[in-house]
Amino acid sequence: MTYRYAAGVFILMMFTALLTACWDKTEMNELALVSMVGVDIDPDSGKKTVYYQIINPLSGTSARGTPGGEQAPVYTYEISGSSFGEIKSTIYKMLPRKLFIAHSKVLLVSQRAAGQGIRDIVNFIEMQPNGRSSVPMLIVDGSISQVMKTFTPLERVPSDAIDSRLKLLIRNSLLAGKHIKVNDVIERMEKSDTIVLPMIAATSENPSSNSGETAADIDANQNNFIIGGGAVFRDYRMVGKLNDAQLVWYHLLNGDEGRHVRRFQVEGKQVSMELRLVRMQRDVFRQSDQPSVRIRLDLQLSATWANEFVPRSRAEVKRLEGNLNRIIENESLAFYQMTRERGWDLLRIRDLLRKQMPNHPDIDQAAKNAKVTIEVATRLLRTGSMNQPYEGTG
Amino acid sequence: MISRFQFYLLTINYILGTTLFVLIQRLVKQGGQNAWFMPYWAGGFGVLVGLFWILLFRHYPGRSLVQIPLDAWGRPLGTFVSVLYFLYFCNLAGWVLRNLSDFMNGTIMPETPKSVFHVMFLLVACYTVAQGAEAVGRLNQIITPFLFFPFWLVLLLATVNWDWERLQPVFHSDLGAILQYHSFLGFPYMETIALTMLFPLVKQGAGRPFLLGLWTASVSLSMTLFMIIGLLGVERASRLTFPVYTVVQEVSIGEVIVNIHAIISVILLILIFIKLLVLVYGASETLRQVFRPQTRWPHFLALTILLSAMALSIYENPIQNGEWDEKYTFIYDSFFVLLIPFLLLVTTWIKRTFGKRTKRRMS
Amino acid sequence: MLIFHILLVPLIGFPVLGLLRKKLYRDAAVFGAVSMMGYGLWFRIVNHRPFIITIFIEKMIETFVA
Repeated sequence: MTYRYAAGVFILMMFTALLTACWDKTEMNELALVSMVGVDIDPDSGKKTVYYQIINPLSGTSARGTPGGEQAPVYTYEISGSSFGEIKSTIYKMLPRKLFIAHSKVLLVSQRAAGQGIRDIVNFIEMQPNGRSSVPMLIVDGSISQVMKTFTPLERVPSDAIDSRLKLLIRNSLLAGKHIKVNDVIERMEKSDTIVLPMIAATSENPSSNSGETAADIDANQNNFIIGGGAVFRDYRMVGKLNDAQLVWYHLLNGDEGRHVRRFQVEGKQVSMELRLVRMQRDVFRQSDQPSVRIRLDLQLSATWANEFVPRSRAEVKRLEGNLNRIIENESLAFYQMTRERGWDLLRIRDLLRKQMPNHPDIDQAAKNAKVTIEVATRLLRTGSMNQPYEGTG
Repeated sequence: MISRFQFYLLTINYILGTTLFVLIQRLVKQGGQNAWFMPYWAGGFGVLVGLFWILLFRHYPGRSLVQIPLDAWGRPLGTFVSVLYFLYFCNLAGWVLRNLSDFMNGTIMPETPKSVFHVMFLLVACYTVAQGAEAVGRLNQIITPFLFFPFWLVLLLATVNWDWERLQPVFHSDLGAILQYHSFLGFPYMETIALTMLFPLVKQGAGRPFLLGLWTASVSLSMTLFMIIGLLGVERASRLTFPVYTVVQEVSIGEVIVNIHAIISVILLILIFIKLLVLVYGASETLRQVFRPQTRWPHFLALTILLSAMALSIYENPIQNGEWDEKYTFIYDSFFVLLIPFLLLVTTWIKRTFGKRTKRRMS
Repeated sequence: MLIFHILLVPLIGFPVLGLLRKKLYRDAAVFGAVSMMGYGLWFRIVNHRPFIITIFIEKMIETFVA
């Protein structure tokens, strides 16, 4: 009987020792919660600089009135090393808490690092057990150090600001697409495809580094950064840029469904119409041994924002639609020609051919020589609160 | 005695146990977009091998795997073969434990020493096995819904990132690569011989639930591979060490349901535990049936010491394990799973025919 | 090393002595054999030179095949 008691007590003691998670426990206030990560690579020395933007748990409404003034919502730590792995050890020369990157929302990469190649960065993120590849990646146009040390008005944590801006842009415009995450980059680069990532730039030369000042300043453009333009990537390297106008056609021809308002010049009049893609069909035909791709776009138009001109009759609507069809076809074809000249397969023709004609001997050549036709069909479905704008008397 | 349904569930969970996180990456690397087809082919082979074992067991009703060599070849040689099987089960258990601690160290708990996981799991497993096979069967039956539903629910939550194009072109690449991957036959299908230790305890015959369980596990594996390829794509899934874990890590519903990968970790832990239960049962029953000791718990203590040591000695690092898996798993497993049962079957037939002839001569 | 012996020697020794005292020689032999195998493996692990089983099996297979 005592034998059993002794064995039972021994086992209980072992459980107590083995179940306490002695080795891996971390209290919440020992963690540094990273909200944004920025990466820069110096082209001459190869030195890697990483910026971690850590959330300050003491900021917020409950901390108002604490002695010492306003608390900054985030702190940016900058650390350099010869490889990303080394930074994991050297970060603790500056950072007083344990780095926790599982909640980071945005990854920023400087333009010069993007030009050299982001494969190292992407490999590093995927290899870490805590790293999430489902965060969007943006390229910084200008100084990454300045963007990482910028406070934003209205949305206190800058990574939240970027995140919500991207979501709003994806819904309300064609200036940003959904496939901008690190795992999208990996998928497309591994298939020898191209991808366009959004770019971000600081709005002013010397932003304030005091969050209280930023929060109290009425000029929201003063201390801020702006998302605009796209960086074209091929083989993990940035090979060019697209401006906003080109970005619209890029996203439209790749099937993004944001509602974009653009001013068109139709029959001598300006009209701002909202476009929305409802269906895109891409078909591949073989014409005398050369593949030809036909892209058919069905767009829905809305005249809600057309304060300049609204069609009065069905005939006018049909004429407007016809004109817009032609304008959109011409401009998107011009965009395609531009990409073909620069050697960027931004319409992902090669991927399409690979799926539809897998037995073709030379897919790259076929993609370069493919004849692309674009057919657009627009339909006006919505109008705004007024069916005719005011005209005045004179 | 365990019921047929319990044995069926036990077979499924045993096969899925470590496969779900050790093999997925290698299967996608070998099969590409068509990797979801591989479990059907390997499962077919597993069913054939299972039929072969059932044929052997039919000659020895009510006897378990290690009692058959004793019956067929006599005490000395039979004991030697049974000790070989004991070491085989210990090897498999060591692998299971080491895979588990590699997974925990590589994902959630990097600082904890591996022996802590091994000893904790072994203590609970030995306690469960000491209660008998009924405890094992019933425990598995109760836990299976808690494994099945959260696993598929979490994978379905991740389908916001689904892309059919990742699975195309279908059946275009070379099917020969699929058929050449023989290590998938070894681990996990040939390792199900450990379940044959439970054959005599299944009410109304173990053959049918065993084969049905093999087939259901193949279907389940195929669906999991299908989901992984559709959610991650071949390029990523063939390089990530734990694709299932990464898929769940990237689930983000609204902004609220994020970072739910702890659920998958717990599910995988329990699946591994069930596989370990069967192997510990096999090892301890081998000792009990071959040597017939009169006490029970000292042997569990010895098993714990041995298995915790083997878990640390079984391989050096995951890279060497991957290499071993590709080259030698099939040979190693087929020695125990095909060669020895084949010799036993041949011996049994010879004995039967000679026995009939001597009977006819005498009568 | 010291802690290893402090832990394992009583864990193996007491049951063996207990079984011998109850005159269960077969039990003691089985327990002794299995736990001595474990002790041997652990001894090498604690000395940071573990006996890698898969490499051993690899060598055996190679000698048979060759």
